[in-house]
This record gives sequence, C-alpha cells and structure tokens, in this order.
Amino acid sequence: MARIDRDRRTIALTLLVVGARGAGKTTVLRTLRQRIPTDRLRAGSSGESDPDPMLDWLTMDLGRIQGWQVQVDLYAVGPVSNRDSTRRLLFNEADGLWLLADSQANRFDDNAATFRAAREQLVDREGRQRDLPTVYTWSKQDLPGELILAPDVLRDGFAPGGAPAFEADLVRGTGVLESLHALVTLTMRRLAPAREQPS
Amino acid sequence: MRVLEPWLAEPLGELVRESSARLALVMTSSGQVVGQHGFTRSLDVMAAAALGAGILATTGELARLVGSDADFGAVVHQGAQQGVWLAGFDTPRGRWVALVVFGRNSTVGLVRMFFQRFAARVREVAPMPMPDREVLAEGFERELDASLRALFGGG
Repeated sequence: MARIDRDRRTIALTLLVVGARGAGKTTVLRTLRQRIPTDRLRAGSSGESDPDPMLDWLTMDLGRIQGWQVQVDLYAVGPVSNRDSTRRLLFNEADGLWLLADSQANRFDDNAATFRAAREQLVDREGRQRDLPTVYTWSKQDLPGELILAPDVLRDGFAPGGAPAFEADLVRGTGVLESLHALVTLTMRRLAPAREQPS
Repeated sequence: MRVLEPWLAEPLGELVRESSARLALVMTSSGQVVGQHGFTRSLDVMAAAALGAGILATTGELARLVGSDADFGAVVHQGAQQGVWLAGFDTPRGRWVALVVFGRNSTVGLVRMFFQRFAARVREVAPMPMPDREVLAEGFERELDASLRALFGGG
C-alpha cells in the first residue's frame, strides 16, 4: 500500500523491478541514475561490485502533484532466494510491478519462472492474491533478430491481458523511462476516484 | 510519551498510568511504531517494535500449525523483576500490537484488564482511515505527466 501521510501531505510509492538473472535490472537502474538529476535522486546497492546484486534501489523525488509531495522507491529484486525475508517484505509493501523480460529466445523459461515466483509472492496477510499495476519491458530488443523473440510473441507469452509493454534497448536506454512513466501513472491512478482519459 | 497521532495520547496515557507500566509500545502488525512511552533511544524503539511484531506473527503461525481457530491472543513473559505483555488488537486502522513492560508493582491480571480497556478505547476514538481513492482529485495525470517529463529531462 502506498505510504500516505495526510498531515505532511506526502505520498511514497514502492515499485519493484523484477527480472531473471541478467535480464537488465541493474542496467535499468543505472540508466535512471544517469537520466535523473542528482538532487532528485538517492540510490544504493547491496553489492556495488557484484554485476547482478541481490538488491539495487533508488528513490526519486517526483515533486508536488496536487499539493502532495510524491516519492517513488524503486527496488530491483533478484530471483535468488537467500534473502527471502527481504524479498517477502518488499513484495508485501509493493504498490506496482515492473516485469523485465530478457527477449532472448533461450531465456523464455527463466523469464516465465521468475514472473511466476513473483506472482506467488504477491499475496496479502490472509493469503489472497494481490492485483498490482504492472508493466512489462522486453529488454535486449537490440540484439540480432535470430536470437530474440518478437514483442508480439513475448506479449502473448507473458502479458496476454493487455498490460502496457515496452520494447527496450538498455544500452541506449530506450524504453526505460517510458516503462517507468507508465507504471507510476498506473499506480497513482489507484489514489484517485476515477481514471482519467489521457488527453 | 510520543504518539504519531494525537488521539492516541489519552488511551495510551491511561494504560501506562493505570497498569503502572514501565514501558509501552504500540505498533502496526508490520512493526511500524504508532506510539511509545518510556523508551529513551529511537534505536531501542525500532528494535522492540520489530521484535514484538515478529514474536506475535510467530505465535500466530504456531497457533495455526497446532490447529487453533484463533491465534493465542497474548504472549506473556513473567520474570523475577519485570514482565512483558504482548498482544494484538483490531482497530479501524487494521490490526495493531501493544507491548507493555511492567515491574513488581503491577501484575499480569492488571495489565490484561487495562489493555482490554485500552483496545476498546482505541476502537472508539480512532478516526476511520480516508479511502486511498480520495487522496488525489480527478485530473492529477496532467500534473504527474508534466512532473515526470521534467524529471526525465523531457523524455
């Protein structure tokens, strides 16, 4: 649930970036660190020298929206299970889910297993499945066509329900900001009385 | 005494006064502190809250494991010099946990009685939470969109 302080008029959202090992979670956060002004950002990692650390995070200050100071805490969560309690806590707190799929054909099963595990952890205290705003990003779409699956195939495999999905070239950073923009918007719609049609 | 919301001061003050508690801590079931009395270091408060919420979650799980319909309600540790009362209770804000540390000038029965009065009083005076759906007004997306574009450098 979003952390809402009505006295101080602050809203803090917890968003999780979930992907299989090597899908590009760390690169996504690195791209955001490069694109967002340093005075609006704080970041850290559980292992600065680890190419695929257990936990990367960054906090972004979105500024004021309708008089509310909005902050987004973004956590890149690895698939390894040796810190299950940390992972469980983050999934309990999560307001939105950013599922990052490695587009390489030979990683399809890894993606599927990671997303399945994520959904299994998205349960409330009574064990009911939580329905969170979700966006998908198909990473490594810049690789040669014979190595990767087309966005349509990935959508059919992982996002058949019509959730927003974006193609990404993580080397150039394309698709990253678009994905985050969509996820923040979807998540904040849950704090408003009705969905507004984008103009 | 410190409380996160002013309406909690009166029921917590009464619990501390009437049960002769040395320390008292009120937290959400996930360990977020809502009010406290007697702690002098914030680190102690956070550690006690995390441990208290964890103990209650563990006993609840144990209750389910042994086939109890409800959880054990309260956990009591009675030492030679002081005792600890730890119990969950329902509020309009969800399930909360109270931890009370008492000395030889009080008893488990006394703490239990005033805890029950405290829980009832909290249920009476706690304001209902405003639905999250009413936090933002319609039309917020234009502001959000502009804010995100500025943050991402026009991206």
